[in-house]
Amino acid sequence: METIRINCSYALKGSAKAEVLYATDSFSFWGGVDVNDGVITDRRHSGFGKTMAGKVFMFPFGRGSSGAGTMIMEMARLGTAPAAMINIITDPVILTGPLIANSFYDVNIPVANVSEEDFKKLENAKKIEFFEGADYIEVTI
Amino acid sequence: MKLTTYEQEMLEGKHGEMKKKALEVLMGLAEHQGVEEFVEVTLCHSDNAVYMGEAQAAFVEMLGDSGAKMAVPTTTNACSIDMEKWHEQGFEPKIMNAIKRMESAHTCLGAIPTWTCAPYQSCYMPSFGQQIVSAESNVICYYNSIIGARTNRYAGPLELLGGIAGRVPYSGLHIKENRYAQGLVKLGDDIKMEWFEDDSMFALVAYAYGSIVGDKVWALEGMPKKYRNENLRDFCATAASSGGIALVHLIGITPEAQTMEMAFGGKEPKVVKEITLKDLVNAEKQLTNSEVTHDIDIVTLGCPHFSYDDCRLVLELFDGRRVHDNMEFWITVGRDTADRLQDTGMYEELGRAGIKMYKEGCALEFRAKKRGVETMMSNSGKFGTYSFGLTGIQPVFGSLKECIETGIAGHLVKEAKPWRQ
Repeated sequence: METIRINCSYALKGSAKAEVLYATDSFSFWGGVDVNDGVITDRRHSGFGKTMAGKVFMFPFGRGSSGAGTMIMEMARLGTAPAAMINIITDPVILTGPLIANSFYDVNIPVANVSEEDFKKLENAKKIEFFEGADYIEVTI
Repeated sequence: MKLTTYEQEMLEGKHGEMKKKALEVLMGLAEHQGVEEFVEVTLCHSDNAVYMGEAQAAFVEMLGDSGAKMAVPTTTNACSIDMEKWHEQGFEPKIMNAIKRMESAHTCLGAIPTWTCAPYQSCYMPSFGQQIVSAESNVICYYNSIIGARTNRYAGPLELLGGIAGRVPYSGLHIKENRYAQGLVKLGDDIKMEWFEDDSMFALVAYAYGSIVGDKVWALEGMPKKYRNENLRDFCATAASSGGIALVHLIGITPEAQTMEMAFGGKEPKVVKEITLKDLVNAEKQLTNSEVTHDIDIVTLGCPHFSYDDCRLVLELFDGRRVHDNMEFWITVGRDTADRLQDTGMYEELGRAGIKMYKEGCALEFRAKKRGVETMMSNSGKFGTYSFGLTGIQPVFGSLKECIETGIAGHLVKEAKPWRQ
């Protein structure tokens, strides 16, 4: 076990520490996840059958229909949301969920952006920790 | 951020609690984007009526109850159900109740009750260059690309907050410079123009385009100049599903891409890629689940919602015939279109052909799976992309003509095509 520090920018600030669900392909929350348990239901996705609930969900960028924000809000309400998310780029569609969950539901889902190179490096990450006000994450490999 | 006096007052709560919170969330987004100012919008398309659990209903209801009003004209997207036929569609009263609450909330907010995922076929739409806010992926792609209005990909209910605040961060596709194409996709020589007489080509090419381009602004060269508006709708809906396409420039077709120079802002494409027959073969495979062993249970049309002219075309193709007794055949339309079809008697005529007409709802939401439906056929690339993940129902893709012939024959009818190998 080794812990390394990776520079990132926080799209939404917060602290969290959780295990990682890593995907190399883009992801659509709408039509891609069962909000009741956080399990990925898109059979074309590399994470098919795995749960993102309570995990640090890593996927490079969002894709597809724009219901993503509400799916994340509902997951936040049901307690099945990821603990945090990491993307290369977080588009407004994805960020809306954590932003509104933060303001209106009092659930903090920090979102970090890392470089494409660092994203690849994190493939074997076991745990990742987020820190309020920091510009890095700590990764246990 | 550089705030105007009015925006400063909003933040201080002088224009109501909801405008204040709405602006706060929008500022969070602006901060992430490194944006320093807002841009006023002139239209909002609200995507907050598909049932996604209590979170959304409660959220929209809270906005409606607050006394807040939309700052700009606001059209409403498809909801989950036909508000009259929800029982026949297999919905529980609980879901009807949530939809009705969201409908009421939108009325309280002052929205225009269009209830369609194709508001560009409805009573109110933007014009070229207007700043707007939408969260429905096909609408975003259509308004940006086909009309030349400007919106980013927002996620519900953020667009509602933008409509309440009357502004969004001035970023991305709201800014002219960000709208130029970066890369170019060409149709390969092995794709023949006459294939486009089959309407399914628009979805197949769009599926390939979205898969290649992802979420970037690129252009596509080589599309036919002869098309129906509905073909462009189907292109946008599919490209926004297989990829994250918010703006596509169709050279010689869309308003910001009448020439290559316009589309690329006088620059050269940074990347050039090609869609070949192989990509169409792959698109067809992706949109038709290869594991399908069961015959078609239901043919569904109207994803996005069918237009009045689509319905006219369906009647023409039915040519007096009827849906087979073993088959269900659905068409889903927006509320305005349903009204117009009723005005001319076509709603009833479609019904007489054995077609189940639904309005306002979304066929991806209708509860067919729970009454044993395994396989549904559609001419929609969007339906084909999302069906299995959302509902567990296997999609089969075909042209409008094949969908209709399947409905009449009572079993799958597919023609030999170059992209079916």
